[in-house]
Amino acid sequence: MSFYKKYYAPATKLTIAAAVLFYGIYAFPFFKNFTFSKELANNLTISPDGIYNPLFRSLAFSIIGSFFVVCLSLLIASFLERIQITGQKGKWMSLLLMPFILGSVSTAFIWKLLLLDTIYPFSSATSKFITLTSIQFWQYGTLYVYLFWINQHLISQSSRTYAKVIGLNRLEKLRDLLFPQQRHLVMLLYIITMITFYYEDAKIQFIFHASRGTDTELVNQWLQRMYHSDSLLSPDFAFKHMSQLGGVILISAFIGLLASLLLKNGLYRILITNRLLLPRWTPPKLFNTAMYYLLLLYTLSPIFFIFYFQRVTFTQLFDYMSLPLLLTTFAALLATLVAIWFAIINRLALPKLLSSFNGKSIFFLIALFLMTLVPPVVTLILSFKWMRIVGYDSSNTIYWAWIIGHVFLSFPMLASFLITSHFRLKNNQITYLDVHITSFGDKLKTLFLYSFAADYMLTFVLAFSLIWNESTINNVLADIVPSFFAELNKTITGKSVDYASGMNYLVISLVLAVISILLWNRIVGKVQKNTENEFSEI
Amino acid sequence: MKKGILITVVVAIVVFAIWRLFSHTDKNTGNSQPKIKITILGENSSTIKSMVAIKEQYENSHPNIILDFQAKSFDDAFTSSNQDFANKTGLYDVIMQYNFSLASFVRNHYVYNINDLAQYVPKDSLGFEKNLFLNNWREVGYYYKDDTQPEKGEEKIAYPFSAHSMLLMYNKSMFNDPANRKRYQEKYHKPLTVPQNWEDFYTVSKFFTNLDSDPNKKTYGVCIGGAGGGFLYYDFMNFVYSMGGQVLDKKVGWQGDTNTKVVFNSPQSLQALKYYISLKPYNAGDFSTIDQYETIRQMQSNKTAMSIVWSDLIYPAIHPDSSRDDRFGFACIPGNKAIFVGGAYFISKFTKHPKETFEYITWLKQEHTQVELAKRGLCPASSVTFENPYVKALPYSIPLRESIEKGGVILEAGPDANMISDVITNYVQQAWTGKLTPEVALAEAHKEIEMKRTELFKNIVKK
Repeated sequence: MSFYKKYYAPATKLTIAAAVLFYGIYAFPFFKNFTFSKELANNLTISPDGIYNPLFRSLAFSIIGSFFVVCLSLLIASFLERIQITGQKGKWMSLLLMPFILGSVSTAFIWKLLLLDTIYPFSSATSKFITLTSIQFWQYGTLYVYLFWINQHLISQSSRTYAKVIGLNRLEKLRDLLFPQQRHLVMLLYIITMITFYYEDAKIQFIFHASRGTDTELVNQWLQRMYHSDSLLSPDFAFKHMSQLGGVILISAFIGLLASLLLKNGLYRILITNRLLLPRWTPPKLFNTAMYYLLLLYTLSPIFFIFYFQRVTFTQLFDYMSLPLLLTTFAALLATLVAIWFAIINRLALPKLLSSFNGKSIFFLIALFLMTLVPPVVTLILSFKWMRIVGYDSSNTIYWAWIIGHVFLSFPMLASFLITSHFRLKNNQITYLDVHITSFGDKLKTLFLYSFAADYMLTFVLAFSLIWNESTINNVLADIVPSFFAELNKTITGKSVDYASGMNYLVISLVLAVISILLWNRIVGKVQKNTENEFSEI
Repeated sequence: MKKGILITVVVAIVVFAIWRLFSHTDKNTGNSQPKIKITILGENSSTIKSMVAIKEQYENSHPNIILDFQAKSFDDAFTSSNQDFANKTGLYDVIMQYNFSLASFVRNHYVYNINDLAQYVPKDSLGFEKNLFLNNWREVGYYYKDDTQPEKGEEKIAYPFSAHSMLLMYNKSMFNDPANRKRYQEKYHKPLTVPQNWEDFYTVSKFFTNLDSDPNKKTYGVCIGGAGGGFLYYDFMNFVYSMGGQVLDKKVGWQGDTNTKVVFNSPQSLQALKYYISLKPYNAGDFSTIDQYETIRQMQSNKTAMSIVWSDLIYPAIHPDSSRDDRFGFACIPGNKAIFVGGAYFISKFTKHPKETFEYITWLKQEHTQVELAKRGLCPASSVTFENPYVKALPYSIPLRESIEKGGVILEAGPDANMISDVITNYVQQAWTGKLTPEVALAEAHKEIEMKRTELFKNIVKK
């Protein structure tokens, strides 16, 4: 251990301190204004339009919705166990990445068109949230199925053979073999999903027009409504008020996240330690095959449907969007490199803490997500405030601000994804190489780059999608760097709605998604060839 | 070989990337030519699109000027303008905003008033002022000289960029169908015409509603908006004011202070709310998600007889491409009052070029420019523009002018504007779904507006 303390700990401490300092300085105006006042107390208790209803609704939706999406994805993935990564069917599985790569505003656009003139999805608040959850499953659940499916291929051959020899039935295999393997990923995806659901905006706004009177308003829409109202007094007053309310929302999210994670952990322990004999049930092969085709159909049919029903007005957009495309590529690359660096040095310096999900590592990850828990409206205003200091005079400065802003905002998600991926690395592997190899470069290659090449590629794809579809920085600097989010948004809402033009933007998003998937398949194919045996050893 | 191709592709991408970045640097900073850039921020609508369409005319006659238009979604334009002012970044020289931003902009000293700017142009170039619809201009472009002493009177702050109203849009073929006319005559003993009073509006809505199980035969009488974010509020206010109701006791939207009386809970407002809800069986689409575009889409489906639409949405709706869609007719909304709203060209106090900016605005307001803009979708704010033969021939021109001249619907435009719109939307939505009775909804809305106004004006005093 002294080896880590001597070499990696200082670098890690420095990196973490730099990250905390950066976040702290960035959010300083927000924390400075976060004070408890009598008005805030009234808002929390007696005001008829207080925060409690949207807050409760958001917490309930995010906890129940995330639980549903993650569990269903896990269950579906378990039925796809027999599909091999390198096989033809395995290649097609990568299409499950499509909805996530398309992003929130494209998803909102696709489902808005699909649900036009339907009745049930809009018939009540409950039906709206049920429909929204299934849309969320389309966007996130399909990605999760894919991640769970890949992850379960990492179960060692010896464990599988053992399970076969002792005669575990299908359900017991799920409990004793698959769930323990997926445990870390489940936790990570639950955290990400809960935060995403808590601050859901594009879909509930564009498709359902969330409002207080229809009991569909979540904290994000409520806060935006307050911001619009307060802005008519003065933008400074609005920011002060947003900081106070945002603080309450952030603390509630933190408590909700922590409580539900502890609850989830407890449930998991009960499930695992419960040695009840589970009924013998093995789904027929046809069931698994049907599940595979249904899943692909569910993923792709919404896209096919809207291209069939909705006219597209083709205009030359690639030139207009070339600058954001270019900057997104740079930013995604930089964000991926920063996240890789952060995840590697932390894994080496904190081997005990970051070897699995445990009480301490959960805190570490939640702390990483703390900045993401700041309400988007507050982050938006903060970004405008910082741009006042950075200035709008030089395009090059703005491009750097754009890139750094995106690296900063996507960092929690990317870093946490890689930290969780690195849980696969055993501590004794690190110790073994520490003893036998002295070069840091060789350690880096052997422990990380060879083993996690596919994970890093996937991180880049995720980073690209996150940055391309991001709404805060893209909004603040949209005057200089055209924003895909803002442009598509304009074709869905407001006074110049034009679905045919919106389809044109969707084509761009779709082309990017297809390129990402092809790239991903190529890398996976290569890595698989090189490390097929290595995977099974891990 | 493969490696060679890969390297070539990577080099090509890098070269392209560098070229792209540098080409943008020149364009955006304006360093390559000593030109003055005037940046105009506004909601992406037919108004700003018409300005973009004639931008070259101005640039050609003023070679030292570049016009840069930032057309954004409503929310983005609202946030960008407020943040630009709050942070004093001066990104936008002209901010096209609606009446509810007026009070905030003036009280916080963010914008010039017209007196400050008139020195920059010859007096005769402001001759267009006499042709502006004064009632509309006063609503969107005037404010107190001193908001702490309203008795000092009011002054001109900005020129209106357009004059909007809401019009009745109807499906001509449904109204002109001889079979429909005959059936209507037999049933109601009067001819089928575009309704001019609320009683006929209800009857016609009912008449055209056919809830057949076959979706192809299903038709609806009306489409009224019920979505949050102001859509319900604007639709509903037509009914309230037309039936004699009011929200606050005042004459102009931006007037009012902590002492202004809330008068929303009245028999007239109750009548309006009950009437609004009575249209529910005949209303197309899902009420709570009907925004301004959805009403147009419902009309375009050819299965809805009437709707209430914003005038600035009509031009793009009937000109989906280069052709014109003649399926629809337009009329004033029943009753003796009409909404007039729109917004103004606010000139930022942080602009580096107040003279050039004001010159551009006055050019926009000249008669020949107004006609050019109206041909491309602007709803003109000047009466003379409506006399132009081309403008007069637009299918919505006559009812639009009539509505603006009629006016009378006071849309909230003080610091409490968004709050009032939100509260009314909430309670009307609840009354629509039957969660609250109209009486309770109205009483609760009234109480909440009173309570929140007290709180809000306390914050203004504190500030």
